[in-house]
Order: sequence, then structure tokens, then C-alpha cells
Amino acid sequence: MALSKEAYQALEKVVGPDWISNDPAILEADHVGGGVHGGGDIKRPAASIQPETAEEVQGIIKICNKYKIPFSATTTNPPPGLDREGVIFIDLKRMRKLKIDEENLYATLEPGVSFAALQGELFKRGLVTFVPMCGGNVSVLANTLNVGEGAISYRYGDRGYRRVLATEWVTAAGDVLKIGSSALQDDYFWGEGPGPDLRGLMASANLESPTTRGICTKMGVRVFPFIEEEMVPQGDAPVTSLLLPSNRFMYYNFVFPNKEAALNAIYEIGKCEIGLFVMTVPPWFFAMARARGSAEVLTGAAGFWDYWDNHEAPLIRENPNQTTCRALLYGIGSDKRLAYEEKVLLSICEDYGTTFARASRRTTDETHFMSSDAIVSNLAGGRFTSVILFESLDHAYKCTDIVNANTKKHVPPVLDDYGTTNWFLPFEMCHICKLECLRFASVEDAGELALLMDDCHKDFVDVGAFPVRPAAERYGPKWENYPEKTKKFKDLLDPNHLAPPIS
Amino acid sequence: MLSVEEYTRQAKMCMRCTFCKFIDLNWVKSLRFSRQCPIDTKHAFNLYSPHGLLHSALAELDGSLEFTPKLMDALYKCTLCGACDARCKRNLDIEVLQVIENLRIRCVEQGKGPMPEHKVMADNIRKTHNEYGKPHEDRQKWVGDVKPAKKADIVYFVGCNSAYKQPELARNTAKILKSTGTDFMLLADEWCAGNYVIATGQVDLARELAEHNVKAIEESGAKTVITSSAEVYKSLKVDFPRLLGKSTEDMPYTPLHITEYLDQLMQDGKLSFKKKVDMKITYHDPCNLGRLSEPWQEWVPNYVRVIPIGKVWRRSDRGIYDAPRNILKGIPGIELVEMERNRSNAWCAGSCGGTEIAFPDFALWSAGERIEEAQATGADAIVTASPDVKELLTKAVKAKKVKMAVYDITEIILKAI
Repeated sequence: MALSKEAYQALEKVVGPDWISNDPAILEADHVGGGVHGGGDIKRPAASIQPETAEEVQGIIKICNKYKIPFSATTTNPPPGLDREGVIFIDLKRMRKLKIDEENLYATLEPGVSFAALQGELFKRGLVTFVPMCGGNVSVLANTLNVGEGAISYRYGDRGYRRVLATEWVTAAGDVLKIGSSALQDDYFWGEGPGPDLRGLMASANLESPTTRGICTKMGVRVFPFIEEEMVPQGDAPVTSLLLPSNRFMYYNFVFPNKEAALNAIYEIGKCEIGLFVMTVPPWFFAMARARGSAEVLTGAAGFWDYWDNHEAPLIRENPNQTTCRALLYGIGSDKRLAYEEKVLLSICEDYGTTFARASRRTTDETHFMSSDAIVSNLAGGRFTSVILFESLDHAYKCTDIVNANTKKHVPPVLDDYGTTNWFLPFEMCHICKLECLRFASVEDAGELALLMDDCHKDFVDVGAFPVRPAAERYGPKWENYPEKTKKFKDLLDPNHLAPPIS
Repeated sequence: MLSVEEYTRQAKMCMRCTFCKFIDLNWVKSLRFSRQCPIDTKHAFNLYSPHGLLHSALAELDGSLEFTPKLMDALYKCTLCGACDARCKRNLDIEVLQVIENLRIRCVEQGKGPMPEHKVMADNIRKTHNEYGKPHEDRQKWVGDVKPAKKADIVYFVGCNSAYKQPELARNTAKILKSTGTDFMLLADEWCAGNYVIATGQVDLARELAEHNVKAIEESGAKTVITSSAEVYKSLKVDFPRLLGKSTEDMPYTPLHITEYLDQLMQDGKLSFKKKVDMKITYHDPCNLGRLSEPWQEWVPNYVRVIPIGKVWRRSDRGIYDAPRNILKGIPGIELVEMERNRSNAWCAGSCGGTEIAFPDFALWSAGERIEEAQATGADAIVTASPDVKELLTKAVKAKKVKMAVYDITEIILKAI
């Protein structure tokens, strides 16, 4: 559906002629579902527009309301709501302002700031943030409002939306809504009030896109104290790493005879409050790591499958329950602390029967601080899906049976992983954890992964598990009809229903 | 030059993760210098990005998109610098660069491309064997009092820029070779190496140039070809073999950039620098010498389900990064400081891929970005290893009215010899 000339000109006035286009080539490149499954029935938008300021965003939304034009906003990911006709595609990546308050440990940023850029700036100041496992290239603001977990959530807190401080929104009706301290002054230090805490109303807690009620244009987000020593990058792509100061960090890989022992040991590690993070490591990851780099005889998919078939699969067949864990020990404040953590870890390992069959000790980080290896799982076949839950560790463990059983229904064309590609990433010293179940297929068979995901979500409802982006029609009736309730808020903030619908 | 099947397969692999827009994340040190794709950084629309072009490739293939002026603007502004390709090799392992190159080839095949300026360049080359349309007989005018050998084991392949526009760089190279006691000859009939010809999708002409130059090298009897042009180096090492359906190792010569050759002499103890050059400098990796210069591995697509059988990947980690740095570090008095985006993460100065020829303003902007990054290091000078890049960086310094000296590495070496 074409945009009227009048509406286009009005939008052009807001951003200037260089930052709006209805050229078919521009619109075609925006007309991508992206992600694992391609996004379904995506339509070319009516125009693509690139605001640089919150005022421009507000101007665009007001024009959308005047002419009743639906809109979808995004930064790095393809936005939701592109299955509608005549959508204005609002791309926020030009909004890249970043301010760091070192003393008071928070950053104020706009949607176009990536995690890697924030992390790079923080490292220079002796600070750190969580970089989500989906990649350091994603928008801090968008990801934090939605899921926003990272490896160091283990020590510093839960998912992103629980770390959001003050925010500035342009509601879908075109009003500016400031939440927290920003409502009182130009300060994004605290997020509550004034009056009721509206953050939960605007952010999504894994349920739907935060853009269904408006567009967040600025956010305060907590950051954390860190070492002052330099994290030195080394290597050329595709194999690079950060050299960690050896007096402050030590990576340990350790192996347990079975999953129960591994998870119990992880609980114990959390209780003892050691480590910057701890996680289980599926054997698939080892094969992935060896699939990169031109120094290998076989690299890429060929290298992956060679290593998998000849090294990992025989090990799994021999001992299917053996479970590898990884912890990054952290000498906060001193090397004595690191020595203490090492002692505690080794004692726990001993208690839970660690074999150290694949044990290693190193001070380089390839991916966890910048999430450089995200989506590397595509190397196996071209596409993968992540069935993700945020649950207690023991409940998450039980849910892996659901995913494994459903996977069997889809093998082939889903590639057989021997049920070993589920991994656990605990947060808040093991109060809660992320369970990610990776499953793989070729590009042609990616649709099968979507079916697998749906099968798992159906079964999760019965055990009260909480997946990311559950289907509203399936979970709603079981969960207090939350879609109906959130629709009321949406009607209030988006009276013309122009923002993406709640799905 | 990919088959339609392979072209489609590679383009379909893109899931729009956007890693292609950023430098290797472990190397990110600031917001200002975290991005790596010039067209994305300048234009921001998704079309102006590697993933946008890959999606356009699929849309063009299925007929839902034509080569509109906008698509061609994005396609030919892309500098083919290969940064996206290097990055994708970490995450999705797609041949991003080859898909974009092939999209240009399709554009030419359909009579839409290349850009008018590229057609002029091609016409010049057809008529005079150099991109500027200067008389072919003037190609060795730069020689002056330098006396190349009539016959030697080493050929110095000069390239159009050094032969016609910056002859002092050709003389520098010759003098450096002489000073190291290296006997070298020139090709009796050197033609343009055609880096920008293949880059702009004009494959037939590129193949003609490759065939002529390879034949000339063979006829010379030399087994080693040295050049000080990054663009020529990439042609010799990557483009000539692939245009002729071979791998680099199967070519009848060994290509060497002057920095590789001198670095080897240094390592063998046959070269050391005596004169002091007091300067704080930063080195700009030309894309054609760094990311794009890995040996070409010819591969006929052969998959068993998802596994490519026998494919040897080119992933940019075997480009020429160390040799120029070793040389600069070996010169007394030089303090070498690195820009944030260096080696395989280097920001493209804008002269690659034929971009400067058709979009000089955009190329100048890209070079200006690099100058700002060089300034942030506190260096007095920026040194590179490509005549084309040196020329563009010099223009950017002038346009920005900043104080920053620009050198080709041969100029610095000559100061130290």
C-alpha cells in the first residue's frame, strides 16, 4: 500500500530528504524477517525512515497518527509487525548518543548504541556490562528492554529488563513519556515512579516486543565496577580473543560424571559466591570452536562435522551423561581473592566427582565479554533455533526432557545432536537460570525448526515453564489472560493501533 | 563467477545478524570506531549494508527487484573492502564478498552496470592499457636514470598509478630494490592489472587483462613478481588465478608485495636500516594487501548435504599485516602506534572496488573517517602501502585541512636506507 504524497512530504519535513525513502530497493532490503525462521509473511514497508533524535521520532509518530499509518521500529533486528500493509519502517540506528556516569555506575544511551561499543567504552573506565549471548552487535536499549541476559548475569543480576533505570518513550499516540528520574530532570539515574513504576508496563519481560506500545528513545542502564587493567585483544578474525589479566581471572573447564552432579556442583558454586560466571558447555561448542580458523585442515561446516563425527560423537556414545562445565574465576579486588576462588572451586569439584578429563585452565576469553561467537551454531547446517527458558536450575533441567523428546520427532531433517546441545547459564548466583536448547537444520529445512519450537512451547505450558516469546493465544488462557490485560494498556497508549500488535 | 546455485545458497545463508557491520567485537574499544562498513556507516539504510545487498541479490534473482538507480548506487558505492566477509567468517561463514561481486557481474550482464565512470575506465584500458587513457608508450617513462635489468628472475610489476600518476613511487620501489642488490626487470608489455575492472563486474575485460599479463610474465621467464601496489598485488595473487580457473599456488609465478620481500630480507639478515627517521606514525592496512590478499583457492562446489567437500576457506587472517609493520618497527626512530581498527579490522579508506572512480565524494568521506582515526592516535603521519590509497588519504587531509603527513611505505623506507 503506497503512502500518500502528502504524508510522505510531512515525514520528509521531519527528518530531511536524505533520511526517508520509498525506493523499491530500499524497501526490499527492509522487507526481511531475519532471524532463524525468516519471520513468516513479511511485506515490503511503504517507506523507510531514519530519525536522529527523540523529537524526530515524536514528529514521525504524530504524522503516523494523523494519517493512520502503521509503523514498526527497530535498530539491529528486523522489527515485528511487518506482516501488515503500508507500514513505515522506523530505523533508529542513527540515534547513537552515549553518556557514562563513571562515579554513579550508569550509562544513558540511545537505541543505536551496541553492546560491544558500550563494553569497549566501559573497559576504558574500569567498568563492565552484560553482553547478551545473541551478540555484542545488538542494541543495548532494545535488548535490555526485552531479554538482555549475559554470562555475567550470574554475578550482577538477572535479565536486562530488571536493570532498566529511567527511560524516555514516545508512545504510539505520539506523547513523550518519561519514567523515573528523567521525568523530573535530565537524569536517568533511577527508574521507579514518580507514582506507579511504569517500567513494567512499557518493557516486555519476554512476552512481546516492547515496541507494541511505543518507542523507547533513551534509557539509563546500570553498569558495574570492574578491573582497571586492560583487556588486550589479540588475533585476526575469525579467531580472536581477549587476554585477561592472569592475576585476576582464570577460566576452568571441568567435567562431571553426569548432569545431576554438574548441576548440584553449580548450585554449590553459587552458594559459595565464587566466579564471574559459570555454565555448562555442550560438546557441540567444542566442535564449533574447532570449525573456525584457516590453520585447521578442515574448517567451516566440513571441519565441524569432521570433528563432531570423529571426536565428540564417540565420546558421547561412550558416556552420554558426562557433563562439562566452565567457570570464570574472578579475583575481585586482589589476586588473593582469585586464589581463594580457585581453592573453593577445586574443593567443590572434588566433592562432586570431577574427572578433569577435559579440564583446562586459561586466561583468554574468546566470546563471553563481547559475545563475538554468537550465532556461530549456524556453521553446523546453516540454521539453528534456540528453545529458551528462564527457570530455576532444577526445573529447567526437567524441561530438557521435553525438548529432547520433541527433537526426536523432527530428526531428520533436524540434525541429530544426541540430545547434548542443551546448556545452562545460571543468573544471580543460581537463583534462576537460562536454559538454551540449540537445534540445527539446513537453510532449506529451517521451517522444521519452527515446528519444533512450537511443539516444545505446547508442552511447556503443561509444566508451567516460561519460554521467551510464548504464543499469546496458547499461554494467555493459562496465565491469567495476560494478553487481554496488556491490550487494555495498548488501547490507552496506542488508540489508533498503529504500533505492532501484541502477538 | 559463482554458479547460480552457489550464489543463491550463499545469499540464502544470511540471516541478517548484522555482525557484518561491526569490527571483530573483541577488538571494539569505542563507540566512535566500532563500525566497519563504509556504506552502512554513511547511509544507514539496510540496503546500504552487506546483508541488504545479499537480500537484494536474492530479490533480483527471483525477479522481485530490478537494478534500479538506488540499488546500483548502493551496489557500486560498496568498496568491496571485504570487512563484512572477514566478520561473517566468524559467525555464519558466508562468502559475502563473492555474492556482492557476482551481483555486480549480473548487473553488467544485464546491461545496467557498471557506472558510467567505470565504462570510461574500461574504454581507456581497452585503448591504452591503462585506466587513465594515457599513452601506452609512456608506461615506462618513470624509469629515468633507474636501470632495470634486461633479464632477471624478478619482475617489478609497476601498476597504472605508479607508472602514470605518482612516478616517484615507482622510482622509490626501483631504488629500494637496487639498494638491496636485487636484480629486477620490467615486463616488456605491462598492461593494467584490472583490479577495478573485475571489481566493477566487467569480467570479460578483466580476463583479457589477466591472460595478457600472465602470458607476459611467463614470456619474461621470471618466477617472482614484486609490486608495491596493493591493488596489483591482489590482482596477481587472487584475481588472475580465479579469472583463469586456477588456485594461486598453480600460477607460474610467486607474487610478492615489496613489504613481504623486504621483510624476508630483514629476517634473513640481509637488510637493516641505518638512518634514523624520527616520526610517530600509524599504519593503514590497504584492504587489497590485508583482508583481500589471501591466496585464492579454486573450488568447484560439492556438497554432501550441508558439508562443502574439499573447500579451503579464505578468512582474511592470512593477509599481509605483519610485513609492513615489521619494516616500520625496524627503522630506527620510528614510533608505530596503531589505530583502533587495524589489520583485518581496518576501516576502508574508500579507494577499493572502483568506488572512488564513480563516487569520489563518498570515497573522500571514507578517507576522512580514516584520517580522524589516525589523528586520534596522536601520530604525525599515516603510512600506507598502496599508491591509490596514499593519493586518496592525501586528498582527505587537504579537504579536512588537518595537519597529518601521508606517506607510501616506500617513501619511509627510502628515508631509512
